[in-house]
Amino acid sequence: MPIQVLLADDHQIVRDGMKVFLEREGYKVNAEAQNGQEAVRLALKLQPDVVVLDITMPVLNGLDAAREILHNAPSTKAILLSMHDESKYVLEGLRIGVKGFVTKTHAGEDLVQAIRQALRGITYVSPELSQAVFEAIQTKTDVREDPLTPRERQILQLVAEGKTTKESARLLNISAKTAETHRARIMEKLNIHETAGLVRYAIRRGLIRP
Amino acid sequence: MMGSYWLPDMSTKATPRLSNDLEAMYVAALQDYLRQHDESCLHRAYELGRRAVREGRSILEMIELHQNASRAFLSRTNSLQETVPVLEASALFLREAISPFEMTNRAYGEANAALQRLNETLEAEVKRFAHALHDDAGQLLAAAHIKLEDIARTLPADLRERLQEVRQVLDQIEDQLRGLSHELRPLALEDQGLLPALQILAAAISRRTALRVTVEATDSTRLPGKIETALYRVVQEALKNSAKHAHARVVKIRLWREEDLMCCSIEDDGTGFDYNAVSSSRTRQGLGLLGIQERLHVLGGDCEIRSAPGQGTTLNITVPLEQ
Repeated sequence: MPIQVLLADDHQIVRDGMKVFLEREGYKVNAEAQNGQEAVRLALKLQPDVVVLDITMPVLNGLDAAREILHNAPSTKAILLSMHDESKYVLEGLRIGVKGFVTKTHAGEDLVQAIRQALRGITYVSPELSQAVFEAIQTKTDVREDPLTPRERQILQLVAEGKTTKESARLLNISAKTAETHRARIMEKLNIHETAGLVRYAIRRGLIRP
Repeated sequence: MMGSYWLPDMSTKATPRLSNDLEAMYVAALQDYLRQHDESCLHRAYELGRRAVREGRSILEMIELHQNASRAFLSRTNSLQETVPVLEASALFLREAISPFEMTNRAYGEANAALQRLNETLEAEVKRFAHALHDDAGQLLAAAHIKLEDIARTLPADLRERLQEVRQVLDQIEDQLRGLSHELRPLALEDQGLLPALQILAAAISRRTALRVTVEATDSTRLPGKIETALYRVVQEALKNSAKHAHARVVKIRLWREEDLMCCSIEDDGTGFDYNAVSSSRTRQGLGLLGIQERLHVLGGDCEIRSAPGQGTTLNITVPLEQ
């Protein structure tokens, strides 16, 4: 039985490239997702061996999708794809148990390498990113953990993406009132009281691209 | 109703402040108006006001001129009965004469508002470009990389090496796009404020070019977004000038605060230039300086440019913090 892989990236052209590459290496890409939420749903339903998640995705970013998948299906190996300037999320990813970090431009050989290592329980970081990780550890510029729950973080991402409370509620299958309560909790926890401030915070946390 | 009065000819008496010509014409027109009450005289007042605006006279000079002119006429009146109509008529005349100043003032405010809107539109466009440059193009580059890697697997070693060279070029393209995107859209500006953003800009330019840029600041509090953006863009433009036109080696940027004024000086050791010649020219450099001035004027700020051939260039910028 070949290793099952789920690919999540909002750019189809990138998914297609990775899929061809991985299948030629003998892996089976059994699902593709365009955003983090879809990735979580498919991962929990299909239980693939490996999930490959782009860090920047709409609705739910790759880091938080990995958090949710690893929380509910801890044996899954999660690998994150990162652009060069997203290296600051690597530390946070390591903390939540992500097994591989691959620069997107090397999502061929490097990705295969990362999957191979992850299946053996070894964490792999692309050489281009490892330098940034060492620097982050040395200078301790790592952003401290935010006080939000995963659900609140997702609401925050949706707010920052410009969704209304109603739209957010529909996307998450919760009532508008619950979404509104989450939003109020977020503002209270972060002590930020206007939407512009929430957007800035979300950018800083890497929930959305500016 | 006013009648006509005998009035002396005042046109030979000149005040030193304004050109004799404008002064004389003003006195003559006022005199005619007080005599005849003709609307055409009011029109002459208006035209004189327009001329004063064109010549760059201040509104205060204009009022002083009027006071001098009307005082002479008033001194010739003998009773209150005579004085009141002269006062009323000359006030009407003055109103006509200074209305061009009012219009200019209004137009200035409107132009400023339009410029500000234009700046905001441009910033939004720049955001879009930065996104397209970096994120969208970045994804396509990633896809190209993956495909090339896929092709490389089927190739013999020597061809694989040549493909590797192509990938190195793609890496360089990505580096450049990322650099450009960051210059267009300095994330640090929104996130951390003016000083950190300028420090990052200085470091990036020092790394990429032969220019050494230093930033010193005595104040790093956050300023209103409009001001931070304007100052950042102004420094960016000034650095472009220093590198491209002045061939400078060192640029010193200083930021400080004087009560309600934010001050910034940008000093380079470049070739310098003849300010008058350049600022009136439509060259890239001339337009750049004009752009700097306009950006600051919109915020009620100003930029003093000191330069001479062989003497380097210093920009002294001030922006009021109370908008």
